[in-house]
Amino acid sequence: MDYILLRAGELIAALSFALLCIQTAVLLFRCNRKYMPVDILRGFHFSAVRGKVLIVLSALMLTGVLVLVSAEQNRQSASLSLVLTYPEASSGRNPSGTRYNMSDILSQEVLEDAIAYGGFENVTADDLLDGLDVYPVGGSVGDAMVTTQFVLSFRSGPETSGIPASDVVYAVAGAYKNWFIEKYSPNYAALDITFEDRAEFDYPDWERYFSDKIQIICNFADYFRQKDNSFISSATGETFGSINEKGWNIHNTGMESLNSYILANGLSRDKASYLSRLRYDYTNWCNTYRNNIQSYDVRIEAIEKYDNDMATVVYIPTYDTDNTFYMSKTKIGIDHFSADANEYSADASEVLANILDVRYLLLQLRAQESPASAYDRAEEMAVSLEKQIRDLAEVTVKTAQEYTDVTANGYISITGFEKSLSDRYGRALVLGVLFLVIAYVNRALASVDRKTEWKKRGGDDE
Amino acid sequence: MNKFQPIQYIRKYALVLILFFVLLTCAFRMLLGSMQSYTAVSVINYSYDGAENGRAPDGTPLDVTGIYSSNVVSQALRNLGLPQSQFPVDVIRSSVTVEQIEDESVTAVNEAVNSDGETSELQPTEYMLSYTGSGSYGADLTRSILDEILDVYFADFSRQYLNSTSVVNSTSQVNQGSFDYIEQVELISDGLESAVNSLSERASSGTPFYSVQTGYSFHELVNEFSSLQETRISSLFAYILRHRVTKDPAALLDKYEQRLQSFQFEQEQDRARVSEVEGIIDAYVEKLRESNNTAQSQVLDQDGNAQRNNNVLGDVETPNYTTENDSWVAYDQTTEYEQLLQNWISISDAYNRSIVEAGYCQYVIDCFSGNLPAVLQYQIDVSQITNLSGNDAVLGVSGETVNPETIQAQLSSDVYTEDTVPCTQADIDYVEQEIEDILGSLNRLYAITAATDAEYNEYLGARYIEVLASSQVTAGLNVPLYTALGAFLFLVVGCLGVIILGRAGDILEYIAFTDHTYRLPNRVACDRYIQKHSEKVLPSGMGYLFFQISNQKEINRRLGRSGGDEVMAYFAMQLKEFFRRGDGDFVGYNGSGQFMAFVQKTDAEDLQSSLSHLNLVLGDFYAGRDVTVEYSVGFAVADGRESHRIRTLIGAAMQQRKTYRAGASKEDSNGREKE
Repeated sequence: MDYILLRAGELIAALSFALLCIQTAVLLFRCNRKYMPVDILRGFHFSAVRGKVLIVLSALMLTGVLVLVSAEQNRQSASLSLVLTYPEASSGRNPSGTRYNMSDILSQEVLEDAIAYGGFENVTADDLLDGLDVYPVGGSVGDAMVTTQFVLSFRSGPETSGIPASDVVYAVAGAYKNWFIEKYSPNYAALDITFEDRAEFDYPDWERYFSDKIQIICNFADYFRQKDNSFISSATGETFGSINEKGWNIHNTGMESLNSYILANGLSRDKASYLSRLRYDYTNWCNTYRNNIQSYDVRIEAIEKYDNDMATVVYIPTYDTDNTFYMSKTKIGIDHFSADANEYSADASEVLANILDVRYLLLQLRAQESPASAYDRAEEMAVSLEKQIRDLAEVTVKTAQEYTDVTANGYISITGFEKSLSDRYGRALVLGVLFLVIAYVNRALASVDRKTEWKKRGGDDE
Repeated sequence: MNKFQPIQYIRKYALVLILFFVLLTCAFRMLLGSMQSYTAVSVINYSYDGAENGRAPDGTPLDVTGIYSSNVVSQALRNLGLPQSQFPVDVIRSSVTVEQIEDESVTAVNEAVNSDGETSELQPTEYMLSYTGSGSYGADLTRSILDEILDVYFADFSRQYLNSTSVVNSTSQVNQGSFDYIEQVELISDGLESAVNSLSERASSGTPFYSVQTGYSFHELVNEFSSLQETRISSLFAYILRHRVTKDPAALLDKYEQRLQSFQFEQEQDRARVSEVEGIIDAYVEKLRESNNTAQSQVLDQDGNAQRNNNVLGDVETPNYTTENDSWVAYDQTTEYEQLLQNWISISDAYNRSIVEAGYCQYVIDCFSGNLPAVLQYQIDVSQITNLSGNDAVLGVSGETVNPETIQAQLSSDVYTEDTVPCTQADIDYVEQEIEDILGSLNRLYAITAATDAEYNEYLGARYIEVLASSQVTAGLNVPLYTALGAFLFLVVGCLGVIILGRAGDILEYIAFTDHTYRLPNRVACDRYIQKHSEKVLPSGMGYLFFQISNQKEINRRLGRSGGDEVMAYFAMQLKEFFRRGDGDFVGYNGSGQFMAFVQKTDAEDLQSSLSHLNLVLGDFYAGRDVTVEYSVGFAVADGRESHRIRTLIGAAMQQRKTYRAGASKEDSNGREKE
């Protein structure tokens, strides 16, 4: 209804102006043809014009209509500015490093959030989309400029005329900001470390279990350390480097204590099953080791087989990475075979370490029959370790959050365009004055025409 | 003919003109709207090393048409929820353009290097992308389509050139088929190994990445997958083997027998191949040596001293080349000798591995067939690992080298070996439940991996391709301006049309309905006027006058034809002066010396006065010409007392005829009423 009334008001004002202008133009044309300019000018004298009160009243009426129309227009259209304030924005990226896409501002998801955010009823995302517009500020086609400021504007349509436009733009901007932060700010889900599933792991697997948890913290801290090594959190007093170091300390000391205690006491929930698994692992590792050693042997044999007459190389004087003279040489097959043999040897060593671990664990589990107190003690140590890890995770989240807050600066700044009184109603008043002037001219010309006609028909001048 | 008065025509056809103007302006506005188009433009830069050589990150030629490839465009449309029936992929593709932006610095470098006689084919790395969409969908959708195409392309670029290995969940339904339990676990284990390898590559790529969507980095994913592999999969394998858990023992044994057979065949084959390749190598070297063609074969000089030939070339040859279509070909330089040795290595590796695999197959068979001595023996055999030095010693518990018999005696039989037990229903239930749980965990992990990987692709794309300019949209037509110009044009054309039309009407009327001698409407026009008003009720005050020149023949005889026409023309002119006072008045020549006039807003007195005045004017004129004109006049006015029908009015006028004489006869006085 408001929409229809507004359009009707605009139509009335436009028609009034159009009719007045046409009539004035016709009168001016006619008078110009019939009368001398001096006669016409004489007719503009204040005392010569009839219906002055009517002119003023109609101008006041039209101004009133225009003021009402302006007020409604102001209510039904609004715009605001969105500024991306995080560091990656100027390179056209999201905080996560992916490409920034301004079209997301008007995505269905954001508009539906905006409807919920603004509490708008009987309005769909498509209704909002019809009246919304977003465009970058500054730059033109082909300019090498990545825009970080956008104008979001809204003009009510028939379905949305009941909602103040400013509410719509603020709701959309707010919903977009929330959506953006939700989607692109760091996700700390991995640091929400819980230990509820520890019960699913047997005692000897706790080393792996806790190691993975600690590594989550260390990796996360290291990721931020690479971004800013010098940042010190005012809330935690930590740098990302110090957090990383603390994590490895827990890994290398606290966890090691627990692990050695478990091994020394041969703790396991189900020894039979665990020993069975260890034997399977042992068999597997041995097979892997055998494969690696055989591959190593084959390459050594290949090198030996390489005929002396074929093993000729050319030496090439060159520079090394320190820019000192270095005698390089052309590569032949034995170079590659040696490299491969070295790789298999390294792999075999790694596998051997696993074999020795499994073997030690097997012996320990078989040898020990630990009392319940040993299990209690291990549980206590695990709980203590959990607390250390959880505390460090909390510190990491706080530090990362503070860093993000400082650098991202809120991600998006929303600034409304507040209109002054002159902006809101200035045009209505100017049009009202213009109408008054045209109406005066109109009546003056009409008076000239009428008076001359009357004189022509034999009347006196006055 | 009427005087040319354009304004009169415009006034006359004002309504038509306005309708014409409004309709055409609206139609033109609609036409412009349908012709409107929007163009979204963005600028990107391939910012990685090698892009300036026109190469993709993997070294293959960079193909920028991938930006509007059908898979990218169709994916973008799917992401935006746009139906392909309304937005055909090829139409969108044909509306996307990719233009290389000239870079003066690159051109300068190329010119400088080329002028030195070297070859430089550096290319600009910046491209301007544009998409032109129909105006009916608006500027925002045009921009959205370009943005989405870019988003999809960035991810696609990464998938194609940077992150080409995929982590696929191939085991989600593994427990739904006919696989036996151990096969299911083998498949799961293979899938896990493949996932760990692929994810490890990403984790060690040196690109720091955390998914904001899942919260995971690839390190965490590797840990999760390998933790599953190392704890639950190993346990399950051990359980299945120890408890001989199977759906169908006979079928399982058959399968493993078959596998064992295959491995044995392969061993036979590989053993034969190894011997053959060794023979080839020996023959090859021997022949080269005999032909004195090895690089440093020992030969005897003239003095009989042994010395080495030097067949090494002084210059370094580069067999790598670029083809006509600019693709780089790295030529394989491996010599046949080394190829032979490589074959020997591959076959030897395959032979050794097949021995290990065959042993494992036999172990599984022994487990499920309950051959306990063989099971134990395999476990003991496997534990006899050989150390790196290749001797027969084995490594002790703490890494020291010990005698294998010691191991066997002290540990092998009671530590590393384990017998098997027959399967029960509880074992089957346990294994099925375990597999179900592991698959649940895997599905969750694969879903996280897929989301993380998708975001990683977008991330990598944005790292390798910079956005240099945000998407800007321009309208193809300035619709308001063109509408205003069109409206003005239509107004001008309309006015001209009305003027031409009006003037054409005047000309037509002049030709068909005007007596050219007296410049008055002719007899046809008079009849038409009467006919037009015959059905109407005449307004009060409408007068009709009838004039008949009675001595026309005499005048003609006396003054001649032209003189007579002159006299009559003056008469006609005066009638116009006196009785055509306004737009509604009509004065016409009815032929045979008859004139008629219809005057609006008059009365008998006015007409009588005008007639008297007319007679005086005529008299003055004709007296000057020494001629006398006799004419009879009858008039009537529709004033309520007489009928307001035109024919009645004419009849009434005819009955009131009076004769006038105007002219030279002094005795009759000028313009005197005769009767």
